[in-house]
Amino acid sequence: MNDKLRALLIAVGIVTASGIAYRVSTPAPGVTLAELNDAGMNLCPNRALTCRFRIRQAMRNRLIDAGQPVRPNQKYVTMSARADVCPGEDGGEPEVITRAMRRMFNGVDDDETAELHPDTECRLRTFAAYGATLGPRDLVVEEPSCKRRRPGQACNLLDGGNQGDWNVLSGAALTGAGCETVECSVIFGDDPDTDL
Amino acid sequence: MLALLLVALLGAETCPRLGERCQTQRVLRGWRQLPLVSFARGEKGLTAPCACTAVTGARGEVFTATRASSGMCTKSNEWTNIANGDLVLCGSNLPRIMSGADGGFPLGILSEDARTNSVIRSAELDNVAWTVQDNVVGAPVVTANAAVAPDGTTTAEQVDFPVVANAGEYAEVYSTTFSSITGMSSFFAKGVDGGSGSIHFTQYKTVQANSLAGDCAFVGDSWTRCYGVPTTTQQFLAIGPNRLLPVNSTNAPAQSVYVWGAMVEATPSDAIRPSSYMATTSASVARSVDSPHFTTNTAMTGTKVSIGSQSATVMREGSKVTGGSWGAAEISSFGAGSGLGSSVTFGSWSAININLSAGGNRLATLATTPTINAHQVAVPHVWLQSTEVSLTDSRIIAGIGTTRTTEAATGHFSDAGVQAVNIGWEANNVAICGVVSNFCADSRPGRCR
Repeated sequence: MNDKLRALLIAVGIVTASGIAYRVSTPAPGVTLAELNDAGMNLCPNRALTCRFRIRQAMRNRLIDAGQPVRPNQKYVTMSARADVCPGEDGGEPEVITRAMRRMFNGVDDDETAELHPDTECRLRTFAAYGATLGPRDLVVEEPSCKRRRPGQACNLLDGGNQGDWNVLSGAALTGAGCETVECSVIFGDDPDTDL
Repeated sequence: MLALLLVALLGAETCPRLGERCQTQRVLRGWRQLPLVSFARGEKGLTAPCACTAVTGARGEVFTATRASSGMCTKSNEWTNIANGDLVLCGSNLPRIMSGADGGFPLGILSEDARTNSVIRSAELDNVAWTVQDNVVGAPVVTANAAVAPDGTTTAEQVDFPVVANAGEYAEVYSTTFSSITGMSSFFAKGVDGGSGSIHFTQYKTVQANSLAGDCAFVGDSWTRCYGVPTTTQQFLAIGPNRLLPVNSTNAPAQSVYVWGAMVEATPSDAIRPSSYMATTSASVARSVDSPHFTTNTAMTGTKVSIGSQSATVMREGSKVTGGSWGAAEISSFGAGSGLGSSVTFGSWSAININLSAGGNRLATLATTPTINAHQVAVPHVWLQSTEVSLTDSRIIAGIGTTRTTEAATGHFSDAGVQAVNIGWEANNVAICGVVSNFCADSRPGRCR
């Protein structure tokens, strides 16, 4: 990454994907896509960046308004966005530039922010591996990987056993039309029954 | 005036201006000025464990205990002789002031890495998330909410185990709600009706013959935290005697045990203690990393900066760690380059280099948007690279942050370069969780004694 591009960015966080730490940056306020490309961002390969987040009310409303599958009280989501992965300076960590996730990392502090989940390891995939091409402003809420049964619903272990109401297990372990897909864990202090 | 005179006689820094009161403290040999950052027993906020309230340094220095989640604090011992109510839940961003380990160490700040308890219903062994099983001898009987637990709630389960006295027999209660964890299991145990004994537990692996087992001695008048060793591909945690598995299988008498607070967490392979307990209900629970740091009220001007921690208890070791002596623990040299791109050597800790360079995972932390204000330079952690340390088990218990771009040839800070003190540590990319106490930083080493 050259100095010109670096000057247009704000470092907002760190993600780890496949054991490699990436510095995440977003464009500084007022910086246009043309300016970023002119500084060399268009030479950086595009990837799909997927991370788990804990979101606040304002961000949840934005996602709901955008038609994303988010429940009214849901605090945890896994989201994907386009990222430009640029080589680091002097052999340092590569940098990930993402515009759609600018509010999703710690460091940009307003009531619309989200937090990376503590046990998150983000994923960086090619669009081919991800299965879709993401636009610069796309922010996609992904299908959670765990499931649970709400009381009275049809959802059981694959062998027919009873996993109990509300208990969150790997999605692969449960089957039934009444299974609710949810994120797999909460931050200590949150209530999984209401917040997942 | 008397205080001013004594301070002058002792060679300490003079007060800012005539007529202003120095911030002083009474010491045996007279009055002396407080260090710029001081965090020690008896000072503000460090008078009682687990108050879960904001603390400051001795001068009222702002202490920030950033943690995005709740965290458990322990009032007394962490491993044995744990009393009912000793575990206190502190909310997010509130410091956990405690002694750590066993044995009455000074109060300090607990700082831990992010972890996740993957056992759901961690204190509900009667839930279907737990299963009882046996061979020949009869299944253990679980009675819910039979006793007061270490957190003061009546949520401890009583488990009555049968006699297991022959090869092939077992009687266990186990959780299978996680899969393939590389880490460590733990739980709390206490004898029913004052009884003592030993309880067997097994960390089952994908290949069950390779499972790891342990025995935990418990007593009847207090809680013991039982824990295993890090293991790969752990599939479930089972509590109870087992003479089928070939690992550490022993005969066991009939016994009744209170069990509470099970946890299975991914840990470094060389971890020897579990992290603080995280209670779960219907889903696994993650604790965020602690990023504690102080900000000085006044810039550290002068020629030298003394920084050190007199002692600390490190949970990973369960023992007291002694740092360098105060006076000698001063920054004595810098490597080539700028402050954030060079090595800093601590005087008496000459074997320890604090590498602030953009290498390995260090930049991952340093790059978390250092905030530069008039009196703050916030660098979340300063990491220790064990490759640069000659100690057998490297530890860093304190670090400093600075954005200075040039340093004098002596390497000493020559002006307002250091204004935030951060506490954190990492060795060989393995986070160490522990308690830091008696922390001090000042431009004059003598003030830190």
